[in-house]
Amino acid sequence: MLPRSSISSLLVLTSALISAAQKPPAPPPPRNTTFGIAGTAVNLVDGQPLSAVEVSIASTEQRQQTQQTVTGPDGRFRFDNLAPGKYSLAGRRTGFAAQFYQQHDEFSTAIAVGPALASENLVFTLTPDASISGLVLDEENEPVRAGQVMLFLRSTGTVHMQAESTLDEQGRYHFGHLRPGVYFVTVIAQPWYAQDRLVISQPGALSVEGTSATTQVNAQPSDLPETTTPSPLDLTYPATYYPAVTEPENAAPIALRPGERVAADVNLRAVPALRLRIRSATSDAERPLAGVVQQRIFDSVVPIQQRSQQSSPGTLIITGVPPGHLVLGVRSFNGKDWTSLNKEVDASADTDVDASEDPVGLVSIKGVIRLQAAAPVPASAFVHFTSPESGENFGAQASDKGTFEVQHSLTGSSNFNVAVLNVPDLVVQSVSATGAAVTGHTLSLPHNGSVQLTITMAQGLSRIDGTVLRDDKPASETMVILVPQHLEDEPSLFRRDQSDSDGTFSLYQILPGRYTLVAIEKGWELDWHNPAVLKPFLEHGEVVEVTANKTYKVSLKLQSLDPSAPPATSALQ
Amino acid sequence: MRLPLCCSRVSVPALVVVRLLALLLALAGWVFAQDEPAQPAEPTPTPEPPAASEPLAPPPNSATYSLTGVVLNSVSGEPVRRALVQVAGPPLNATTPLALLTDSEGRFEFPNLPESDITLAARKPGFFSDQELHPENFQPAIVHLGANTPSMVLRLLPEGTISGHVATTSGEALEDTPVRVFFQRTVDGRKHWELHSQIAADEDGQFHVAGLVPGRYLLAAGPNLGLIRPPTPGSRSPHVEGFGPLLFPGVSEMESATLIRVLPGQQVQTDFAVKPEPVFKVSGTISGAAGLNGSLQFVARSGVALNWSGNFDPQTGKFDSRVAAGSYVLRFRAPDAAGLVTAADLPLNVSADVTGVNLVPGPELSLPVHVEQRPSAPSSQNTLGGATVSVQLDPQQSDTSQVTFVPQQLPCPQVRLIPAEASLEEEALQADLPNNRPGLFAIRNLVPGRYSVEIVCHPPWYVQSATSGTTDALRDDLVIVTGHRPDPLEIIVRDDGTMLMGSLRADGEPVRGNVLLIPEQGSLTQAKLTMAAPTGEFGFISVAPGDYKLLGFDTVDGLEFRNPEVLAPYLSSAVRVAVQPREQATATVERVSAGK
Repeated sequence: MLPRSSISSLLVLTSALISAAQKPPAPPPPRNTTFGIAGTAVNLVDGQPLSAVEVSIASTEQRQQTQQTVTGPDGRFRFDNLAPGKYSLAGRRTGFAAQFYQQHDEFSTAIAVGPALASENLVFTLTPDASISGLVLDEENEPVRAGQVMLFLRSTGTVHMQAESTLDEQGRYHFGHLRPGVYFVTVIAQPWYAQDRLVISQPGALSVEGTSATTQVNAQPSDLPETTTPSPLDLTYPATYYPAVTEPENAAPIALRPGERVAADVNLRAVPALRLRIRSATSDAERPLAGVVQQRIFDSVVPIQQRSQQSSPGTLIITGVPPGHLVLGVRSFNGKDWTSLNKEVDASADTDVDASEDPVGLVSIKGVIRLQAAAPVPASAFVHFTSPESGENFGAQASDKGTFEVQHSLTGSSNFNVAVLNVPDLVVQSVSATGAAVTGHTLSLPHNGSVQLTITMAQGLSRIDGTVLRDDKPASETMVILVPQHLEDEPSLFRRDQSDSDGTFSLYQILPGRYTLVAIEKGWELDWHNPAVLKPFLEHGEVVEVTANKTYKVSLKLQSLDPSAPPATSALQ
Repeated sequence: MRLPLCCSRVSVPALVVVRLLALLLALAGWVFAQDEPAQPAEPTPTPEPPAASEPLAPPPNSATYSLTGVVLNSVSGEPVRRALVQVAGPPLNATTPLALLTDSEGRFEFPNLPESDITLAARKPGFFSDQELHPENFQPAIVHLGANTPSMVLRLLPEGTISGHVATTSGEALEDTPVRVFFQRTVDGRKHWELHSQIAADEDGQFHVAGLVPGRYLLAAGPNLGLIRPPTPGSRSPHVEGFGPLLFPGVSEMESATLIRVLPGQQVQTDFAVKPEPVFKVSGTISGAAGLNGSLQFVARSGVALNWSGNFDPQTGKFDSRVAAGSYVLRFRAPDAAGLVTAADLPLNVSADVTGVNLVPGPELSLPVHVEQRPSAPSSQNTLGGATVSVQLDPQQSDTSQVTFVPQQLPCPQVRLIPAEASLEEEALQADLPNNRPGLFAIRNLVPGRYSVEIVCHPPWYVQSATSGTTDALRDDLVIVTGHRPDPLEIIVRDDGTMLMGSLRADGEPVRGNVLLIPEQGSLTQAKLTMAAPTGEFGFISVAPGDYKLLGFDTVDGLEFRNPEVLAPYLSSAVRVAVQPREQATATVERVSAGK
């Protein structure tokens, strides 16, 4: 089951509790038509019953219908007088963040109640919170009292930022309420004592802004050419990964087990800071340039802490920059429009960057969204281009006629997935282009020139309801995936669910086409994003030809994680 | 018996007036009025160019000097390593760093500086410099760098920290409980509380605050209304407990709270032991709330206001919320565009669910302020201070045909009610002019309580009297009572006050410091403070005729001199002076140490 509402909204107990207590009791329904959900909450780590767990259920059909209780010393909970149907089950307790029954990623097992369904002897295993905390020390082992700490989680092949925190006055950080997993910690900071070199760009324009340390300026600007006053304290910290490395590939993974509290201290080492001078010949003399210096941290592009920026017409000077590979974002006004330019530079010394607008580096995309039967395009439709390799993305709002137009300066990658956002019940069916190569929903953009794009959206979506069987009996808590024939080019057609307590699952919004349906026990442990990993399972999966506007009923045999297990037999009905 | 006066009285020669004014103007920046170099002694982000006669860089053959020194922990006397020392003032020299870190013995050395006047500053996280401790009256010390410059000693005061723990009396850690840290600051001789920081307890109930200057602190924890408890026997529903906000160590009233004294460098442990109470629902209606755009708040007995955490429909006026059992004031406030507030306050003792609460807001209490100017001569209207006086009918008194002077530029623009007891959330109330209508000069949005009245006038005006009904507001506190409209504050100001000039001395030598002018007839709120220059000179302008005491201090920083009990031990050192209209008085005051 896919939980649509967030856990927190389901578990906002306290106000709902009182109103529930105030409601007049419903008349008792006839005995044989109501059912219950009951069970015991236990701790994943020691298997012991858990008292004082706030347990709640919500009907999957009417999610605002919630009920709550709290477990007693025996860990037991019970809900009575339930109509037949499916209910999501959630719990939380001090030391146990809100979680659903058998939750894996954003999926969980809903409890089916009804005749001949076992729903009153559940074991609700709760995963205790883990945490990572630590001390950040500088090169002299003094605490770094100001800085940004980022927590990254590795899941199914990618490393994503999970949380952000700031250092306190003891140089400490803390990430609590963490699920088990493989984490990385990265620190971005500036030395508290850092001094900027004085920067004098032209007579009469002497300023140093945003310094982390007070900078004295005491000179007659006109007598000083564009120059710098060196300071031995013009230092900075490169982005540093736990425990004390500056390259992501050397970062130490922290494998966090349920309930574990890991201390991960990070040591920073100051290095001489660089100065970037960004010039733009095409920038309007009246409007200053603005810029942001970013670095790639795993799969994210993250702004580094800047010390000072000095802007004058056509020039922008940024101080306190660490050496390394930098992603610069520069905004300038060309006399007509504000434009954004992305530039990647490898800086090992003070660097001049030319950010003049370069029409050769711009790709211009014009396109149209087409709907079946010439239906109007929703006003909110937003066309979004994302590079699966770099995460670089851009987009454009579509007009009411479905047309859109965007110019973009590519920073590196040229492959972009095309998606249309904010269009409920519509899915991209096909993409075609002139001026760019298209594979499935992926565009291969040139670094200049113009591209004409046509995006065809599909309505007419189908649905698959099914039951996962293990030895001919319904199997709950299994991963069900629907894989399109050309997965790499059509990732948006991929569908996923988890089987509920009666073994049933539902997959929605399926475009017509040829798919393979697979149920895998503990499948969430696989790197299921990777087609090569899925391949052995697909060989034993069920091929489904989906046509428009249909609901399919499927029985699906479960495959074990070991792909050499005997193939499943299943039947379309 | 009338005590003999120490001081002679002379009439005011014009020259003295000029000199006094020059003195008053120069007081704030006296450093630069002395024989100091023309370039700014203080670092400024946008500098003036140095005087033309000064070379920008040292002449090729001029001598250079090393500036050496050490940074010490002012409490332990130990050296402070890796403190940032910055030098300002010498002409910019492209080869000389002007900032460096001290070595492991706290020492620093700036080589190759030209002969010049400089200032030095040190800082380090975890320590306070003088400038950070006393930004308002900090004077940078100017050092002449030359052949005979001694080694410098800079001192840094270590910060204090408070760590703590919020748990129930049975040991249950209370995660996410908000903890507010209030600092007791003495400003203008009065104590008041200011919010230093707000943090939340972590999953072990722990919290930590650093960067504390020495002084007294008060901690408030809560509210936390989310403690879900299993159903009690006979009930099917779980129930909810909560608490707060509570003051350290877990009490609800200011009187029983424990103040936390933080010494320099000290780490204080503060553990809250909280007894959760049942949480109850409070619901009701604000009558006539539609269109008022008001807000609701519970205020706990400690004076700490709770963020509203319930429902309130500003259209229907219906509200419901939850609080832990206890005593509160339910406060409704709806300011209009002009800042006039419609308000209602309802004391509530919550020991069960409360329904049907009804608040009927009305215009909030305000204290009209009438200032009557009694110029000694018509010409004086355009004298010093530039107050332009116009005549207009006070609408409230037009039926009696009485004319009051309501100047467009008010002679006494600052009229404040200062709470007699420093509370955590109440600030002083100031008179203002909505829509710039002088007839509406009033202190609005009064909160019941006891206040002293502070009136600050432009020269030449001084306050001759200030009364509200039968209360002499210069001498006694004004008491504002719920539902009772206070009598207007009638202020009479005159312009025939005098100058009081004097000299501050220690052991007969002129010294700098602070001088306090205390009226014999009046509360300490009416005392005036001035600063004496290093020449010992000080002056008060537009002093009302009457008898006064003069007290000289080395510094009043942190001294609660408007508290009679605090001031009493010093009064034996006071000098008495009588001030007559239009006659300058002079006095010589011996300096006492505020630390004594």
